[in-house]
Amino acid sequence: MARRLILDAGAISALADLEPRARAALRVAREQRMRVAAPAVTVAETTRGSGPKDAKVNRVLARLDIPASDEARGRVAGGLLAKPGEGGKTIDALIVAEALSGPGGADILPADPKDMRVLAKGHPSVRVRTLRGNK
Amino acid sequence: MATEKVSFTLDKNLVAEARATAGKRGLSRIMNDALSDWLHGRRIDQMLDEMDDEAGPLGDELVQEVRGEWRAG
Repeated sequence: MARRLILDAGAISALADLEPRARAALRVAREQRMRVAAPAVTVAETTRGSGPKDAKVNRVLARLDIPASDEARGRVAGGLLAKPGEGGKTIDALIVAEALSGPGGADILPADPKDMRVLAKGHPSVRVRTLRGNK
Repeated sequence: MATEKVSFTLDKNLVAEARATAGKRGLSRIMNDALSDWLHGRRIDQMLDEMDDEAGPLGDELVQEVRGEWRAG
């Protein structure tokens, strides 16, 4: 199975707004033959109904895999949040849980990688990228 | 997942190798996965092309920079 790139709401918004760095990340993901996915929680964060306000986001979402949420992912996310010293957000934990769900490993492209990196610590199959660059 | 029986004409050697590796039932799965990956890639490429048309093409330097960061881990 192909490695996947999991997008959070910030990455979806950046693509909807045609931000060059997000587009460059997607291009590199394609070079690496990754499948690109937005978990249902990302859809919830980026859409507000079916009005024209969602049009730019919908164009992006229509091209991605949208894996369904399920109990297993929910329980993995809960376990991540239970780690000692962990104060992460449930939404971030669900995104990391999605990254952990497939057999091929996954990269996550969040707007803010800090919390996501804490949640993904100890899981070598998951790499957290950044939209801001390493500079 | 709803399925449909279809007929393909494929390279005989490729089919033999795939069958030997995956078994008869596995061949459908392999074909399905390959088609799914191809369509997914096409959708992403089309979107990237649309974005280039709207916002101008990405600079090679930026793509190279992201590629380098990802390679570094």
